[in-house]
Amino acid sequence: MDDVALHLVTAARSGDRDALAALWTRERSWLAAVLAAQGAEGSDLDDLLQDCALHLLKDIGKLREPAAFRPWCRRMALNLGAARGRREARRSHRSLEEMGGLEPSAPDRPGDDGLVSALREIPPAMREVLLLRAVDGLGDREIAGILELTVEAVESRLARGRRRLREALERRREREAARPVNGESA
Amino acid sequence: MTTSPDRDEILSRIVDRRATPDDWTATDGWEDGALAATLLPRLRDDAALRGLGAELERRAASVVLPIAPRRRRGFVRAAAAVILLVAGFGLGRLGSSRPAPATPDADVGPPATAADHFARYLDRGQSEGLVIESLPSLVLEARWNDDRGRMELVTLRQVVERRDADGVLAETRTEDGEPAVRTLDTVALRGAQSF
Repeated sequence: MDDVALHLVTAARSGDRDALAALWTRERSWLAAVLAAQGAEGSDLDDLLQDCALHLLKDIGKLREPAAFRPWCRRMALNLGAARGRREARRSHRSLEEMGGLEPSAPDRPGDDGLVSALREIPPAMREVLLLRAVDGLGDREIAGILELTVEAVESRLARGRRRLREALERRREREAARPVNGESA
Repeated sequence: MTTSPDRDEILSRIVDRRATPDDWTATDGWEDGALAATLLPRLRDDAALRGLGAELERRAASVVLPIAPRRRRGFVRAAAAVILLVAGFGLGRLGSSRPAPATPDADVGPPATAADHFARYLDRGQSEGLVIESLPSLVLEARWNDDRGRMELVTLRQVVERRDADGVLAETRTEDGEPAVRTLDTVALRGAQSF
């Protein structure tokens, strides 16, 4: 975190709501990436982000070390996502992964060229690094700070994640090519 | 596809434009065409991921911290809605785009600060039906002020107002893409709920 962010965290912990609002504006994009990496999308993602904002507002005073703000926020987002998943699973007797057609063979969403579907086929840890890199121009050091990893570990996950994503996209393309068109039998 | 981890890491650094001279030297030893065959799809994947990242940023930007500056009633998600219509002619007493200062009530006494004036404007505006909602301020800039020894924030206030208008102007664009303003036929819009 840079100096401005640290000052904002410090001020927000002491009750400065303008500082907290500024902090939220700076941090919300990568939190969206963390939640998206867990499978949240659409209105679910919006709701979870709103939950994160509310919990940040409520709990920022409990943060002990300003420098630990980002990992603390990430854990909060993961906990909220997990809690929501458990609630949904109890309600529908389905897991979060089953909701919204998250199975790897689900048809692509219009306009995403299979990217979102292919991302679901790679391990969440790699997916998270790829999405964190994609938002806000986060560098390896910042991503390492959020995930509490070494920079080398982030670089490794990024490299392997990119390969796994390419492989997943190629598998999807092969499946699409093998899929019978209308009127043809398999 | 079979690729060694080293090769993945070199490709990843090339995608991020931080490949070292040693990385480029290593690619000299790859089989003919391997660099282009593996690098181009990954560059395309990276561009697609950045597009997805931009979409996530847009979604996140619509979620604001629910801090009420004053008597906020509920959280309105329409904060990010772009208001295209501008107040035109015949607005009468509400014609100014600048919020009108509230008239001090005789039994309360004059407000002491700008914040008091603004709070009074919100109260009075809500009671008169002018102010629908006061949304959380947007932070445009945050910087450290050495002189004051604390953070300094530049913010944008957001107040949703309802106004009566005999006619409205709408921002539009010409066929050449140049910005223009046109007058809307308010009679034709009479049956519409909103537009």
